[in-house]
Amino acid sequence: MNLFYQPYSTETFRGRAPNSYKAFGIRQLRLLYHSLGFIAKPEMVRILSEMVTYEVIPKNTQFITMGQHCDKAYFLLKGTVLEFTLKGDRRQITNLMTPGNIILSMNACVSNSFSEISSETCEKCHFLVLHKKDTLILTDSEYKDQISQFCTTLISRALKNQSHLANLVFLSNEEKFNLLNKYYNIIFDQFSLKNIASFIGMRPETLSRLRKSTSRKKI
Amino acid sequence: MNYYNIRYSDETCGGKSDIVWREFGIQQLANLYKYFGFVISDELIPLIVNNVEYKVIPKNENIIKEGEMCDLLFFLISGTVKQHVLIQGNRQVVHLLDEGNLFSSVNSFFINEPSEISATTCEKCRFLIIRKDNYQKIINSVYKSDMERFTRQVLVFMLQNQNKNKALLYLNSKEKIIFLMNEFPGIFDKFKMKDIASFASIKIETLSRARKEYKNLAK
Repeated sequence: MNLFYQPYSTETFRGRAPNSYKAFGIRQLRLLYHSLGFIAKPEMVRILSEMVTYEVIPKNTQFITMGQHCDKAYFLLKGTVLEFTLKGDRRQITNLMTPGNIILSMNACVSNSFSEISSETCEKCHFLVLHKKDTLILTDSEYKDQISQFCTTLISRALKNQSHLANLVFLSNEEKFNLLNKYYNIIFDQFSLKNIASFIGMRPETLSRLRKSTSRKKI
Repeated sequence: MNYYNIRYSDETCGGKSDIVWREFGIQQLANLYKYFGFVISDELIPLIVNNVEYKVIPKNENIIKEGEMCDLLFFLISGTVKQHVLIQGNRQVVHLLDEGNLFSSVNSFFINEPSEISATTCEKCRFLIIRKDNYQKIINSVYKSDMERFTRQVLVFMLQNQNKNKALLYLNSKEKIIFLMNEFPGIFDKFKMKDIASFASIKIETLSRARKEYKNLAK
């Protein structure tokens, strides 16, 4: 599932070297840019390549912490990430992220306040990382208008997706499961049932039972 | 309650005529613009004035229709509006908006897709309306950079608000009431219990009972 609610690439990565990963990441970003109706010129891609760094973050590492500043945006190349907030001592999963997503704290990156969420890797993850101060190179360049429109479109897409997910609040457990099964079927292969259950506000036992009964019906 | 989760103006309109209301609306829009950190110049005001329409819309009018295109951006000067969607054939309230909100169908206005929501006036409402072609005129003026950043900022706040409302998914009825009272003070004075209950996805009787209990506790 991605935050933009549209598949923009079916490519998978085949390689191991950091340079290959970085090149793959830049290509994915370019595809995302294209899918939203923009054309990335070679010069722009070159600037972008110089701006981003490639980073590998091990499993179960918190790289954005709620209540702290975070001036980085992470483009997920490989692996899975969960976003959560703390409700007392309890973790509440608010988003499940797969490759192709841009992960950032809106509060910290855009509004210059403390992060409203924490993000943690579910497995070893590969990222392209963009520092906020470096974005000025692009936003002050001749591409600034296009970049600005791209960001607006990206946020509109994210808003559309979040509105869709926000509708989960109005659904019964069975309806929630059907919605997930219909639109985000793949998450069952990528995330633990415990995390999915937390994300949709359901007990893991209920989710497991619904899943079993659906697979029985299929048989 | 507004999309930005902030109070950016305490001003009230001191008149009754349409001209006074229109001027008040422009002033409020300027306040919102300033609140987000932009400087409003003497030339920008006439540009906005020339590209907005003032309109009074009676109670229970459907101003945005789900599944249809909407090329209007509404700034609510007075009155209240509810946004709703059809889920399994039932009308489900997804947002309750009071004065000071800038809203549209994000899908329609920014992504050129049919509207994801409907919007209905809960009472007689006064609006400033910006048509998409006029919005483009403002965006393509010399203030392009600032206006685009302003639009993006508004969308980011809408996204943050959306994420906040998603928290309702994880709360029980009592927690929902506390959430509503804390996050949206005045909600019970402005909107019908039926609409608030639909928005929070709890039974109207439960909402009424929990609210009484909460009031008694507060005493």
